[in-house]
Amino acid sequence: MRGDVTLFAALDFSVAAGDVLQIQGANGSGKTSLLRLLCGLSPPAAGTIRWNGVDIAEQAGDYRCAVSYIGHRRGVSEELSPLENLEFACALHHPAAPPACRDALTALGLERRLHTPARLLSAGQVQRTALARLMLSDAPVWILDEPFTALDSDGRAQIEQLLEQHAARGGLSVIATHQPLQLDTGRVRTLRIDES
Amino acid sequence: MAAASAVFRRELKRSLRRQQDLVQPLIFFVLVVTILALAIGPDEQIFAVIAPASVWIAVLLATTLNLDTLFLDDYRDGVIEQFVLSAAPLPLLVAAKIAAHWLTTACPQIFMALLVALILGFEPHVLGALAATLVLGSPVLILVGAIASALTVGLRGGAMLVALLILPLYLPTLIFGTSAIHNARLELPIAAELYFLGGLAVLAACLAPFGAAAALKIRLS
Repeated sequence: MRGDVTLFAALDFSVAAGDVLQIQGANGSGKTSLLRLLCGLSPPAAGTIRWNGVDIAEQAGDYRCAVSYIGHRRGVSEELSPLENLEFACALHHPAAPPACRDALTALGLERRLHTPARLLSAGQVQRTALARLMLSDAPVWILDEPFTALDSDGRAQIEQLLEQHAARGGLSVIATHQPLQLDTGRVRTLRIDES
Repeated sequence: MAAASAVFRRELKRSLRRQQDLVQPLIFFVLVVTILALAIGPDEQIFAVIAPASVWIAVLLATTLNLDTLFLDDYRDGVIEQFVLSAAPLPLLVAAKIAAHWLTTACPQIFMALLVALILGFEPHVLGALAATLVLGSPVLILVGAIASALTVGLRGGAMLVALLILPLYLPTLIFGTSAIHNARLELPIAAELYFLGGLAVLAACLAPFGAAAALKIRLS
């Protein structure tokens, strides 16, 4: 439900370890809303979302630790540099993780922009800053909303490689994107949600 | 705790980089006091009575206007979503954010208020009372304001809505604050008012982070 519009009803699917689920749908069909439901950011109007067989509403803390979410809003503050943004994201999500932030950003081609405030970066560079979180994430569930927006072909290939590695480790990903995914490993499935 | 201290340090860093947000409320504060002083006119006796109240009114207005900056940017950038999805408890993160906001906005305002009071010729013991009431009262203003700010974050016309929601709730703080200064002027004890303000501050510090966290979750869902 968004406002009083029912976006989807009788939606039933499951994602297993190592799966990549691609969610497709027309603009406004509710891809972002579905991802927010899956994260636990908003509660479903009816039905349940289960993780390891247990409703996520009943295991909020454990489930939150298991999810990395990069939403439509990227979680990158424009006053802070990519390095500061990433270090903060690490502190928020996995305080024990070693600060390999610099390496992650360098690997994504931001080594010359480590200390530039994000408001001076291009849209693609902001996107890379957000996606750098995935390189440091040990969460088994990745939920990504349009991760390829504004990325060039190199960046896209790097993210696809990250997704392959994640699937190989037994992680699962749910991705909303219009573009076809080109992954070598991992079972890619597609879910179409359209107004019906 | 590590996450909360990261939030606190990040807030300080961000506000130091947005200097206009630090300076503008202070200028606004001085302007309001000046306007009230000009409107009251040159009658010294009336002015002596009204000046402490005008300082408090200016603090209320500057605080209210500034509440906008507390959650709005982080809401737009999606950082609040990351707060909610963090393993750390949301009220703790919100409390860290509010504490940093108090440090970067209320503290300079208190110093500015004392400076203005000095210029307006407050007697030393009235100045002391003003300082005490502002130190105890400003956390209440920001903590209660944080709930309204969280409830209205991202809404159109949010700043006006915050003012409408929050100014009535500021009345107890205003009453105790100004009556303490009034008593100080008459050389009466002010302990009772300060205890009330302290009590309000403790109560707000205990409850407001939970209220603001719940409000943010409602706004996100």
